[in-house]
Amino acid sequence: MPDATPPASAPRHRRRRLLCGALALLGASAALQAGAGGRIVSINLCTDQLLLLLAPRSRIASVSHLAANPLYSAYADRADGLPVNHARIEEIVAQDPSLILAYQYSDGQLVRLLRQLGYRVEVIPAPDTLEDVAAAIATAARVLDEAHAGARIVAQMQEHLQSMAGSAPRRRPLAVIYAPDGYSPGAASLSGAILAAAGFRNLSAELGNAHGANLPLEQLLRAQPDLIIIDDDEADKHSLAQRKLTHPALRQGLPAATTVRLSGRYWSCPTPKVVDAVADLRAYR
Amino acid sequence: MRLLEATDVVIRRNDRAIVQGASLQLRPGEMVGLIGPNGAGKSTLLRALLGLQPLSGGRCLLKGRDLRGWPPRERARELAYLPQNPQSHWPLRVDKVIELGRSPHLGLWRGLTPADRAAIERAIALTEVEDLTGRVFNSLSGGEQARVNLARILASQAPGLLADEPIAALDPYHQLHIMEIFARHAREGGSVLLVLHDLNTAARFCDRLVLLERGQVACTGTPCDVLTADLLRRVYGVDTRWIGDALHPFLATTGRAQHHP
Amino acid sequence: MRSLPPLPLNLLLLAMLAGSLALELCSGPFPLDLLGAVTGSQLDALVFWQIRLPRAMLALLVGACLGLSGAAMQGLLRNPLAGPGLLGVSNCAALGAVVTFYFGLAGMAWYMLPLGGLLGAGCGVSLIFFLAGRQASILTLTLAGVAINAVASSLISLALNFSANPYALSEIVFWLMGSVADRSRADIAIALPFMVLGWACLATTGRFLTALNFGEESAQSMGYAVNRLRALVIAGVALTVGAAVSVSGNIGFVGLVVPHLIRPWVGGEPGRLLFPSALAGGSLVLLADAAVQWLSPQQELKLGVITALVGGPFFLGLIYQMRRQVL
Repeated sequence: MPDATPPASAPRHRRRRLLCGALALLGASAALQAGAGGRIVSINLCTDQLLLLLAPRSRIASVSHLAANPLYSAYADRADGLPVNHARIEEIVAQDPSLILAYQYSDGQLVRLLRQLGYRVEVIPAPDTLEDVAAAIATAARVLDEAHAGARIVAQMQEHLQSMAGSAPRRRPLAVIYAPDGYSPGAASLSGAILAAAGFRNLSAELGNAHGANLPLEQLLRAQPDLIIIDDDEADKHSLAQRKLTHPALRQGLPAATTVRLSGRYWSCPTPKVVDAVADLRAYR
Repeated sequence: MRLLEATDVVIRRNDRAIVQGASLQLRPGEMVGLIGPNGAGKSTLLRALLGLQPLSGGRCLLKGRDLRGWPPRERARELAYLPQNPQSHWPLRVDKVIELGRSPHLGLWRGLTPADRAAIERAIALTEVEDLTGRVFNSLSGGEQARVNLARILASQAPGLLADEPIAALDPYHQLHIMEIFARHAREGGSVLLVLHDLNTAARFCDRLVLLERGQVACTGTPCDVLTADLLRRVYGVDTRWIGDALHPFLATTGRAQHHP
Repeated sequence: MRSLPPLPLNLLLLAMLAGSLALELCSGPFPLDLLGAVTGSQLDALVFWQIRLPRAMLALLVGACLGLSGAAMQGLLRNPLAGPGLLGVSNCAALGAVVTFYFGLAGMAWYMLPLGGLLGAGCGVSLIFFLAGRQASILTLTLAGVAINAVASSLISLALNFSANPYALSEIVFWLMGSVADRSRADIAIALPFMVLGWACLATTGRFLTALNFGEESAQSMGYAVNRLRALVIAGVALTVGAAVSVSGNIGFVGLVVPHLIRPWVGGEPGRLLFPSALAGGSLVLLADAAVQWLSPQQELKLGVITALVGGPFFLGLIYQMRRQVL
């Protein structure tokens, strides 16, 4: 607000022009921000991670209810205090988003409906390889208008991966990822890619499973893997699917194997944390 | 010594008194007929004497002891029951049906002893069902089923046989056959209590009759004492007359009474 | 009526059971040399003792329980259409097990899970008696069963919905269709005491069930303590069905089909039907499980599908036969 004392004539015009120019600039940048998205809503845990990673807090309108849970989210601390959504249409519309980030596995009906209502919805594809992870980060960065941040992160990832690939041992041990109900991801899956990058053979892939399949216990026992990775970070353990992971045969039948638990928050979303996962896994070689 | 004794028995169901203050005795060697119009409470009283119907008042004694104090198996060794129209649910063989009569004597795991077999054989002989033993019970005719059921209760060797209308659906030949078997049981020292509808059968075979009217005993005594025209008119609402001769007396129903209560 | 005396019949059924057991033990994702497995290589022995034998034993025990309880229920209710599945007792047992398992109660003590199944089954049987009474016609009994089945399965769905676990809802298939896949000795250990107790209850009721042929009053007059023995049969059914369903889900039709198949061989006597039904029930479930492993090596097919494929047409045939009789 200009002050009450009247300025001299020529300086006043100049100041007014400066003021108008400043206002115009502010308006333009505001318009720019509005165009790129000033109120971004993410409806999926993985897109939450990307949003929290790439965009400043001020641009985030809400994240999914899982984002602040340290069990599932690798960037839970960054999500602390942010408004939360449960991927329901009324919630999202009420937040008047300029951009909605959805994941490949988000509810297709919801995405279609939001687009019909005129909202901009960007769907990030789910990765099957580590290259896909880099691509997903780049796509998200582009969509969020933070391309330089995205490129920086991807470069760091690739550098880290290359440094690890250099020291490849002669022997590649056999590993198996065992999730509830005996589900084991195959070659064409992110978990499978992490396993491969860490220098392990994937039992499920060797059995011919492309994306993944339920492995019978007997098959597991016969293969005698060196490393068993239990993928179960659901806190509530009361289900038959999870009970399968504690079958006594797993303990008694594989005495020479090492059993580790994987932390889903590093393994399931396209974030640079996948490289940390590869690094953690390499320690068990 | 009386086998069974009921004193002032009262049985209520849904606030209605089915039996109110009935008394009767059953002694060894006698056949007693329980008669009365429909709904007089005959079947209910019979079941009470077997311990199948709880009493609202009065008491029943079996061999001098209260019926309620008798363990079921011991009671079943003294009293055998033949209900009205026994329905057979499963396709059992006749010999198995008769074997059921030995239930009060059988041990939990023990098979049939020679004594059991002897009792069964005797029952089969008495009822003349030898050729039926291999057949399925449900495939028999009414008369054959009645004889097999009788064999079943005879096989139990219980001194007291209580039957509810055992001859209702039978032809004259089988009616007489069944009644003769009962009579023989009584002659040989057993006791028989039958609920009967046919007054002539009752008169012919029973030593004593108990006439039940609306839950109370209207009269007890020999057939001559009980089957009087006045009593029958009052209780059944029909006019009756004795016809025939001394050797074959017959109670004929001549018509419905004019003023039936 | 080609009825067989008890000894030859039971020996024949035992032989069948042994054969079914051998077949089941040989079924699995890989060929297994049975004789070698018991003594031989480390890995084969491991697979045999840890995976195949527990699975086979559970199938045997569950089948025996279901066959036995079906025979007992048919005898008690004097009704050839009675069976734990049809009358809703199995689904009630499953409901009890679901509530115990998914809400953390099962972890409190080893017996909690089968106890949940037992309480559920007990409620189911009591409901049947309450709804249909003791002199029920086939129609009343079957309608009561339809009602109880509908309520129990929807309550199972509701309970799973309220569970905090994300896998719960998809596991409804296990509870409604049954399976013995991936079972361990622990499952047998928790269910077996209850099963044995149930068998003990039912074993003594054979003569009573035959005596019920002419109705409850006749049986009472033959010296049976009808109220006590009826309670014993109900307890036996609740124990066996509750324990079986709590570890393997609701494997349908076994309790209906097996007593029917055996009945002509025992001369229609309900009492003689008990032990043979147990043996035949064990064989049926073993064979069905062997079929499951042969048809879908990845073990996605549930056992109840096979028993339904066998039992369903059988049931239809039964109804066709019965429609000539008065309901």
